[in-house]
Amino acid sequence: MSRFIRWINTINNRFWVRISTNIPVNVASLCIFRIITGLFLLIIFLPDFTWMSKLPRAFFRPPVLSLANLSTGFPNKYFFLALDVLLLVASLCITTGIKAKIASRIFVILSLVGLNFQYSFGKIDHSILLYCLLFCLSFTNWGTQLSLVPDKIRHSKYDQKALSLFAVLICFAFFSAGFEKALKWINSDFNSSGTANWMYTGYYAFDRQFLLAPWGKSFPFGAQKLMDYCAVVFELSPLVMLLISPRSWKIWLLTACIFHIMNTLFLNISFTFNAIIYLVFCDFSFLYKAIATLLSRAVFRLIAVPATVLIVVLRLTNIFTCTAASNLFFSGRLIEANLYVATLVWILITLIFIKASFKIEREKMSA
Amino acid sequence: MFSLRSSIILLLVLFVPFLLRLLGSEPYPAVLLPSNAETILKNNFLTIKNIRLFGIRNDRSWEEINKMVFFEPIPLEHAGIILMSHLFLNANRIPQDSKKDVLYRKLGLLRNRTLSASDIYELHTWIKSRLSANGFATAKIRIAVYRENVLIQTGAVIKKEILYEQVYTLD
Repeated sequence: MSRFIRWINTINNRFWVRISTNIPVNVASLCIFRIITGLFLLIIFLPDFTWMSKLPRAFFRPPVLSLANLSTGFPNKYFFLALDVLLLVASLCITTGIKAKIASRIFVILSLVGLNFQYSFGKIDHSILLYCLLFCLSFTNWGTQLSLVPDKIRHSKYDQKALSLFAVLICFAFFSAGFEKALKWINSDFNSSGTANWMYTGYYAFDRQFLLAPWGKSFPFGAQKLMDYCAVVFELSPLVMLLISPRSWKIWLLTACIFHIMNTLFLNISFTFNAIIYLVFCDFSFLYKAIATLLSRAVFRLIAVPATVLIVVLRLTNIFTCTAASNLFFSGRLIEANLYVATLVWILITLIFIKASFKIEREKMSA
Repeated sequence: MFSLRSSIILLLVLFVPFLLRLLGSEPYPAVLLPSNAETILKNNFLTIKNIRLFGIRNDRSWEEINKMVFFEPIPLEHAGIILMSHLFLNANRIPQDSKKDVLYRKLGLLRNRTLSASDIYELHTWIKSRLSANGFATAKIRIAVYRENVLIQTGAVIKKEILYEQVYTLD
């Protein structure tokens, strides 16, 4: 028995060492990523809940094992207002680096409380990786530099641990999406297709008819069956790619960005909240000097302070008018406009990913 | 890095919700992404179930209500179960508890979902306010469920039948 436990222990150690070797971590890069994440939350995706405050209790149907089961109905307006304002404050603290560690944890806890109520309509969205990212990074040194009120510096092993754990969470999340598909989609029956089900049901039953969706539905059925195979391979392969090498992991992450662009364009499923999660594995350290210089300039502050005030005012307007709007530009009901924003975000993220991963890697090698 | 004990706890945290979802009860929060592994057969048409709402205009004619505007501020993708339960106006249409639900309720993991008189009054008031905000009379709402066969390439409806239709009085 003790031999067996030793053997398992060895495998466990090898597994984590392998992953940490394949994910290089750099504190300077993490601190820049903190600013990018904060801006992403402020501008592109900030969960909001005040819109739920005036809904009848009849709609309150929390799923099993939901925190919302502790409540008898939707809480009142002041509860949701406090939640939304605190989320805004927490994302401001993450961006500016005011005790980013505690701000990240507060953001995650408040979001999960609000989301438990939001999913009480009976449908669960799958934005969990964003909160996993913030939770994991709250254990790193991402709030120690380029910060107004820096966190205490911790040993760099925590950075490595947090990112390794987050990479495994991404792998598992995609496994959870691909497992059932593998059972039902991988067969030689070219008269049935899962991709076609997503495409046609989305188009006709859920009115997802924007961007390239009209073109997508005219794909030949055989091509959609081939996409079934590709989707399953993509969703079940991240752990293998993570274990092979740093480069293979980055290739998988880049594929994930392209996968999301395709989903936005053809299926009108944007998953904008996932856009930031892949960037954590990029090396932004090449920007450190430039950003540090920029932050110290008075001119930059003259522009940044009013811009931040404007963002906060717009967010507060949405909160106090009970407008459901995860991004700063459009309310949630303007579906097409939001899809355009999502497409731009995904293209931008993909370009940043290519620049901050592969190009820098090549430059380092040639140097 | 992570000890064996931490890894085992991590595996449990990840796999227990995953197994619960496979059994049909997705918990939240859980590290899961959407699966939806349903497939569709190669065919020229698609059969869809469409739940439509109708309100009365000033000239006493029935007119279809734009669901997205009606449910504002609830995002339409979250209004699906409300629609399927016919806005909870008909007790027979509200999904009944499964054996699993009964078990979860006994374990205290699920709340009692029966509506009290004040809940029903609050629900009617909300529906009336939404009808009024969209220019409809507030006395009645009609819910109709259609089964439609839609041509995949053109979107034309080639067959349409009413599965259910009922007018609900709100006053």
